[in-house]
Amino acid sequence: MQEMGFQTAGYEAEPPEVMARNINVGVRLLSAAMVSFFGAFLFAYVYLKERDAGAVWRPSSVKVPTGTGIGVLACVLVSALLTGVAVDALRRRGEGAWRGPAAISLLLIYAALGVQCYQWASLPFTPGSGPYASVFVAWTGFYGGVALLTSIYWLQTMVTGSFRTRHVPAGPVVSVAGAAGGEGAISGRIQVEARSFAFYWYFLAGVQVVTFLLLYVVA
Amino acid sequence: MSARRLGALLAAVLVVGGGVAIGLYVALFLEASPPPVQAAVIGRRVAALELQTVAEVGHGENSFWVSYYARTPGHKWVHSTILRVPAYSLVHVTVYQYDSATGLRNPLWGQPRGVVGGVMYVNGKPVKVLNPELASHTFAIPELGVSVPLPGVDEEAPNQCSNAPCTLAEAHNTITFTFRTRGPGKYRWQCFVPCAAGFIFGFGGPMQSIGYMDGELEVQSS
Amino acid sequence: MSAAAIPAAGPVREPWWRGLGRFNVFTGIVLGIGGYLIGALVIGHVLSKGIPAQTETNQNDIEFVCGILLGIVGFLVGMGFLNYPIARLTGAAPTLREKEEKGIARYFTLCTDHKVVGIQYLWGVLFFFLVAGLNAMLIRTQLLYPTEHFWSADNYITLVGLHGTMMMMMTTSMVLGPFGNYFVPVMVGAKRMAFPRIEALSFWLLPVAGVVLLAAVGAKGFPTGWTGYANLSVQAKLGMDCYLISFALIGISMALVGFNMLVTVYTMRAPGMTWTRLPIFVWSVIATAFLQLLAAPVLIAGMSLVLLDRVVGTTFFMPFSGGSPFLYENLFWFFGHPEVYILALPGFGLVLEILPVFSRKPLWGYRLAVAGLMGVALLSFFVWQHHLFVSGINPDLRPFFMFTTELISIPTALVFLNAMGTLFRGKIRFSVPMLFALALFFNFFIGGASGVFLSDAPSDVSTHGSFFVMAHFHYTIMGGLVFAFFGGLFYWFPKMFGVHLNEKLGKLQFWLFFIFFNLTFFPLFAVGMLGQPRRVSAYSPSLQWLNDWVTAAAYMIGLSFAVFVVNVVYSCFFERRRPEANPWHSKGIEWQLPTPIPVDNFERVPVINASPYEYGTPEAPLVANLNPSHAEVVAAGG
Ligand SMILES: [Cu+2]
Ligand SMILES: [Cu+2]
Repeated sequence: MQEMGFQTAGYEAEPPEVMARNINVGVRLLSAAMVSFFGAFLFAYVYLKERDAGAVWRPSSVKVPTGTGIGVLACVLVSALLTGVAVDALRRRGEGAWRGPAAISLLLIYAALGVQCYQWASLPFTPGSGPYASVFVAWTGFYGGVALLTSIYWLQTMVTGSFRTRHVPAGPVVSVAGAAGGEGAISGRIQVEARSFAFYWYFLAGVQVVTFLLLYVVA
Repeated sequence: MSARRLGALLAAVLVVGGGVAIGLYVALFLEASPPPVQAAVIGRRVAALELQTVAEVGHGENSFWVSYYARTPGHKWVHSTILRVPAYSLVHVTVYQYDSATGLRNPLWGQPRGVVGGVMYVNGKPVKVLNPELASHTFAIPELGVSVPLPGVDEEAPNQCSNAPCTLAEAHNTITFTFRTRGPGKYRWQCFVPCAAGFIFGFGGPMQSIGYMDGELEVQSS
Repeated sequence: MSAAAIPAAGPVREPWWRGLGRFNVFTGIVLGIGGYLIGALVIGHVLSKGIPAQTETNQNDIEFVCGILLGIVGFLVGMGFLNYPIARLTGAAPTLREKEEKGIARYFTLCTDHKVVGIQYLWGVLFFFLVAGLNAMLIRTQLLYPTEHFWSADNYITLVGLHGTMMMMMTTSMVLGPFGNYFVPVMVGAKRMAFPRIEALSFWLLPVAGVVLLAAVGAKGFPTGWTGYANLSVQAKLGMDCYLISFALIGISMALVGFNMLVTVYTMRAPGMTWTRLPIFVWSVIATAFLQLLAAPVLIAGMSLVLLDRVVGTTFFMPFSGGSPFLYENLFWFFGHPEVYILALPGFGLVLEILPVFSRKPLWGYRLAVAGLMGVALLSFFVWQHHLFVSGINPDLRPFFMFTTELISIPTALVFLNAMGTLFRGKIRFSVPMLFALALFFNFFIGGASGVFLSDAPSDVSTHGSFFVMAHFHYTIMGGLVFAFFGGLFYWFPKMFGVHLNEKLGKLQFWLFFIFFNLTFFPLFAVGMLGQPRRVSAYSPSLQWLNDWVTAAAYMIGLSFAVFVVNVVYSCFFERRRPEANPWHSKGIEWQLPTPIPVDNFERVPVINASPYEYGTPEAPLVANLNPSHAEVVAAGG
């Protein structure tokens, strides 16, 4: 991967496990930041609901769109499950076995986003219909715009990258703790990165479960 | 280019460009203030001011805003709240009130204060305390302790004013009172009724803009 | 890309204007303006159709916000920030860094060299610092007379808001931006930051935020000061959108910086760089980064919610529709209080880094200092309600938050202890960086002591919202952080630019700044006690002479910054005094490297042998072994 005329050619010679380790640590910090971010919506939810549990919080005209909510939740949960399957396959049988379930998992996140968009388009209330409606719009909006989109970006880069290099003969196996080595030259990185992604995505699926409980079940 | 040349160039750019940029920036914040309106002098240490309040200016950028207007000694209505009055004098104020009632948040302000005799005249009748619900605006000069509630016109009354300045042919209340000025200086005056329609709780916009519900009393030695 | 793809011929100098077509600031601005126009005139226009609250008033927030957001996206596209993500989405292999320009052009592009980013940050921060300082001058000009006015009330409060917001935004990056990006990787023995592209993004969001904030002037300003309280903010004019978007952008930038710094320090330390050998400055960066990572997201959320109230019509902060302004106050200060330590902690770290060098003694109580910094960081999440003491919060909550607030003075005092212990019997050299460092302790002591009156609920009742508060936080932020910043700048300038700033002009700047800083802000405690409120342009005529005094002194602070600008130009272009390799005789790793520091910092991964503070120990080894043998690397745990 030597790039000539590149002032910093030496960089790319860095062992991939350095970046893999950065990603591994980074994903935990990123999740911590997400706790703060969605914590703010949680706070708004609790604060406004506790202030006024009566008719103002959610007037009876504001109907909870439970059907589409279940749709989003189902897509997210199945996708998270498949991510787990994919990581397991990666560890046992290498990158080739990971690719399939990972790709389906990616499509499911797209599906979750699609259902979410459909829900916004057919929302049975307006954002101004009281605190519940406000929290609903903001929370689902940022879950879709931040959580789903970042996950899509990350998983898609791994999946497309893996598909692209699937015919590249196996390079030197990079020693990363627990990695069995794979076919592509970046297999060592994929090993760690897929697990980091799984951590992030499980975490966000957890957020989605909380979202579902609060916005659709308790409402 | 040598470093010194480059430095001299940079210094010149910094001084000239910086100066111009700062000048432009400062100019951004300068805003023309409305013209001062002189009270008519009607005697030794006695002056008279004529004001009107309107529900909507009716034209211009802020056509929906409420506003005060003031009248020059030449009987011309001016969109201004900068009032010039003589020091240590009695000022007779006449307010033609064209706006309807908003109500006072603090009923205590229903009492005219800081005015001669503690009384105001509404359409010629003396009033010592106003039903707070009838008030439309107040005329208040905190530093002089002046606070006068201005009763609004009946919303059902015919011939409502729609374009400022309003004329006496249109529905209005006439309020008169007299206050006494102190030494020369600038005094703030304003309406204390949150009357800015369209703004949350009625604050904002005209309530904080000189020329509308906020003004200055320039007391000058005579 | 293979080597064959590169033409073998020698470099041909291309005309300068060719460079304009590549991704750089110029293309960024062009696409940014295009984005604004499309966003406002097309997308926003369509979206706001049929919403009378937007189209039938003289302010259409939907158009304006769409314009700004798309303008930001356009700028980032023009800078080239989307090239890599799009390539990756279509399956390109990961790379660490962008292809880089050479020479001056680097500073106007997306550059992934952490040293370039540091210098970009330095000039960016200084620029906005001077603009915000100019606002301060204009504010003080207004206060020359109790009722006579230069600016209208609306414009005055906008000036106050711009000054406050811009300072709070820029100072979050004032130390971590330039010095953190430039020196943290070097200080931990790394060749780069953990995520170089994120590092570049965190910088480029800063000028974007600054420009968006300044755009508020053209959009009728905003009336809220830097705190942006709802629901005043919800009903404010268009300029409020600028405040909200720019502060949210800074929030994103802050979170990214914190994230990047933490990963870098955690994973990229050189062999032998144990936690107890970490320079104290790096520890302060850790503490700050931790705050940024966890507090800034709450700011982003808070700003977004206000924006939703204004643009989409939600009712988060509207009491008559079930919302609550207190929700905003809580969200804002949950970020806002950690924010003040995001400002203070790097300043502490910086001066503690400088003190040992100029007193030729080890840092006294290294572990205490670390505990102090981390303690402050941790506690700062539990004090935010002290900003709501007189807002009508449950009175029973006051004692708890009073207690936690006053508790914070203990870890803060540890930093003072470290300083005193380090100075005690030291061989002190009063060079310019040392003067700035020492002044911090003087100023921060007054700032901290005045803080006790504010943290105490009973006395806060009469001091809050007045110039007393204002004097207090200027003593801590300006007297602390800004002094530390200049100390650090004079200290590291020779390393960053290969030029020694003129000492005489430096001392002139210091004494002007120090004396008139105190003459400005100390009287303001009295002004506040005598009842002059913040953010109000009219005041009692009896306070005029105090205000005039303060204004005159404030102009002199402005002059001291002019001296600084003169110093930079004079030293860099006229005097050009090449510094010795290690002008302050520091033991820091950064001084072991050549000047300018090579692109990769270290040719080989170094091995760290000692703490950087072993002054006065002749037999102490060099801190870093820049050319270690394999055995040494293994022995150090690498
Ligand atoms: Cu009024
Ligand atoms: Cu605080």
